[in-house]
Amino acid sequence: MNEVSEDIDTKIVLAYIKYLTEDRLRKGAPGMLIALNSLAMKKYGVYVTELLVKNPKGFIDVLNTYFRNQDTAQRFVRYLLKPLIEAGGEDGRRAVEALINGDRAEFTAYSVKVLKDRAKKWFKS
Amino acid sequence: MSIEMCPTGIDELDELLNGGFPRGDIILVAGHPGAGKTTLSAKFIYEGARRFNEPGVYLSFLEPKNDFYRFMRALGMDFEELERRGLVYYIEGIQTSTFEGIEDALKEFMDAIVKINAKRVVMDSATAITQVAGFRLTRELIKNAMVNGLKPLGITGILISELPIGTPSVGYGVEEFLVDGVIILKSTIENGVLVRKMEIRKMRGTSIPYAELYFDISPGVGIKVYLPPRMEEIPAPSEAQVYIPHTKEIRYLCGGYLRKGSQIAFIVREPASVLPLLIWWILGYIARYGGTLLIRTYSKPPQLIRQIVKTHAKKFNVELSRIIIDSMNPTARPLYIMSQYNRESDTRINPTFLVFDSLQQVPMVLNNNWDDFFREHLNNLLLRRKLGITTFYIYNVKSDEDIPIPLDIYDLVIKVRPEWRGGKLYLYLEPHPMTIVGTVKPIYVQYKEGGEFQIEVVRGQ
Repeated sequence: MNEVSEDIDTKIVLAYIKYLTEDRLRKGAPGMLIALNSLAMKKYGVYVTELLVKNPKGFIDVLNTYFRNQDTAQRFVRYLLKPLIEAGGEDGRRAVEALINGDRAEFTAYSVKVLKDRAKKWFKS
Repeated sequence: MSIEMCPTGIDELDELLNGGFPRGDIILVAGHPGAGKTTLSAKFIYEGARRFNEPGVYLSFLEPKNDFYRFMRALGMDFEELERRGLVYYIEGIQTSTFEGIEDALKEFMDAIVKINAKRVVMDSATAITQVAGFRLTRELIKNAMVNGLKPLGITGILISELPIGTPSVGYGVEEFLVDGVIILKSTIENGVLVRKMEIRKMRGTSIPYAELYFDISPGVGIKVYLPPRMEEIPAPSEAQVYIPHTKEIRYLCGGYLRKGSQIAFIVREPASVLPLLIWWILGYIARYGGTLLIRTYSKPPQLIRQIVKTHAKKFNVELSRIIIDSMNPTARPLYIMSQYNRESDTRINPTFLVFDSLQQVPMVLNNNWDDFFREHLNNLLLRRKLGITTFYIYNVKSDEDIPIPLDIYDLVIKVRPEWRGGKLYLYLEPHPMTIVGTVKPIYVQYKEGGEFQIEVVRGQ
């Protein structure tokens, strides 16, 4: 896992993405968060949303393991991060595709670009 | 590609399922209250840990851990000891009226799986979750957390569901479609005896020769499944070994000789009795060919049989140790237990000859249920053919009517009726060959003093 020093905007955006995905998992797929957490914990020693923001490759690996099908796993990522796509259009889509490709830097950069304001608002609330 | 199996730890069930549940599958165990769901599931976890060194997690929303451990100890399963060794983890799910309590229990369940590297799990029960979460949410939970969540970890699981008495469908009817296998447990009272049945409704990737099995729960053993012998093909009597009777009259009765493993039925109209004649006939075989005789009676005390045996054994100079007498009260046990006892006893003793006396008592005590009797009888008969046990079955009847089962399962049927001739009582034995090809003739038998017989062949027939 690449530990890099992150600015405050990035930290807030990544925390917002963690909240967003947890919330969508809880509401949209009851029980799945528990299962994904145990898979992530077993293999990477962290919870799944933590894995998403810190190690996208590991996150995708966990989803591939859970669904036992790469296509389904990728479709699920797009569903899970739909708010990012809706908020950012093409940039949002690039962020999601970067996540699917395991490119943490690009995922973070595009996510911050798209969600910075929204995440700050969420953080203040 | 062969499927890896996860043994249930119930040997007969594993034999039936070709080794157990397919590994990584989720099996729904549903049943009426008290049908044995918890015991079966506990056995799966217990034997998995004890015999196969596979850690297991048991999540129960219904039973406190202390009660569960106490009940299971009485059934011969010491969970405490396995828990000390880190092989078992019991989670007492807190019953709350909110979904949050369920989620917390599920989280603890998944954490425990990771912690002890569990290979098998039980969730007891889907019904308890449904009562709090409703069936839609429960369905999602089961699918997402249990079915999809456990498969990647290669964990084999049992999901328990209540089957309300009188309800044909399982739980809310959704669990059946999510899981890989469905086992229904049922308990009924038949003739005053508790009868337990197991139905295997679905088991992906496994062929099931028998979908309905009897089972029992008993102290020290836990759960025992009664598995009928598994024979696709009907075994034939031996071509190599034949038994020629010691008198020409009996040779006429059976077409010259009997092949080893032959199955012969006597349908005897009361008050005639063929048992002394039969013992004499068989001891003649033993004197000539060696071997042992097992006499299993459902109507007579062993002392009486022993007396008859002694008389004839002396004549043929056969040691009494070659004859085993088994006297059983047919009302003492349910049919399936009696049937299993006979199978185990036949296999263990493996006598050369076997006599079943008063076999009609068995269906009679089952409220004249010849259908259930026939199913068990046929399976056991085929096993005896396979084991090469030459067997004589005596049915005592009150009239000349046939017994209501197909007689072509036997190689020879001999109908016996009492007949008065010149003021003396004779037995008239009329052979009906089913598979034997030799010439047969009826005979008359008169019992004399001192266990002697006067036998004459009926000519011109």
